[in-house]
Amino acid sequence: VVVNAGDIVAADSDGVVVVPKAQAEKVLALAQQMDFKEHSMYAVIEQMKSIVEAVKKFGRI
Amino acid sequence: MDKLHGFLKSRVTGASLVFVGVLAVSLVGVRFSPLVSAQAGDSSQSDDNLIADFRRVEVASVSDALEQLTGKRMYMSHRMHPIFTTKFAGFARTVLLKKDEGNTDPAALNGMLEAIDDGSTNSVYVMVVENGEDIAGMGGLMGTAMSARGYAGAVIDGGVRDAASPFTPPASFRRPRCTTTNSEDRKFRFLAMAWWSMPAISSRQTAMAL
Repeated sequence: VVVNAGDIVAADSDGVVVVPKAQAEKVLALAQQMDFKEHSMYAVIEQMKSIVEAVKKFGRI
Repeated sequence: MDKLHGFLKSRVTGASLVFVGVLAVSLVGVRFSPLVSAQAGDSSQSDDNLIADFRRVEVASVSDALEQLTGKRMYMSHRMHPIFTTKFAGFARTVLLKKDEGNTDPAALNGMLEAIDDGSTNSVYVMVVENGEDIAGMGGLMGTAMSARGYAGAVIDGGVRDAASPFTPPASFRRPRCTTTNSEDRKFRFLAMAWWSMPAISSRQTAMAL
């Protein structure tokens, strides 16, 4: 991965990702949507005790 | 420079001593964008907001979003691993530490040090240490400087030293709480601060090119 000065670098226990500055806003918006959807699924999975049902309902894994 | 060389020494191999003093900074953020230049001094509100938002999303989601939008995988090798439990985001401040065995110039590392002193709360120090698998490119002195300047974190493609604690501090100790200045306390303070404020991620293999 190439890191240019000014790129956004984000890291946590999962790993390190480099976001080119020019794409930062768009990437952030989509990442927020993905986070929201995934986090919404946790409760549904717990309630239904089924990942199959949750994936059907949300249309993603 | 003695202290600096001291922490640049690898604690892993004696061979690394050979490299001490022969490393030279060949590239220190020569391509800083206006955005980063701005955050070095007065960071703009929009930069602050952008980084704050990135700190709130999961890195895996950022990676997935980036891949979905651009078709590119922009995550680093699995060999990059956090030294402390951590989560951070910021603008990259890039340094390449180049191996240069003939170089005995004591000023060779000045660019690296100045790059650290230019960073602030939205900065992430990103450094590649050429052939750095057994060389600590960052240690307590640089970490303390970054911590004092409020850096978000550091990503080092190479070794990091002075990070090992002989014990894992209990939760109630995981905050800087020393005000005295003897060396033992300073060390503890750094470790405690490192736990929270100065996360570093390092690798033993080349995962980045600058």
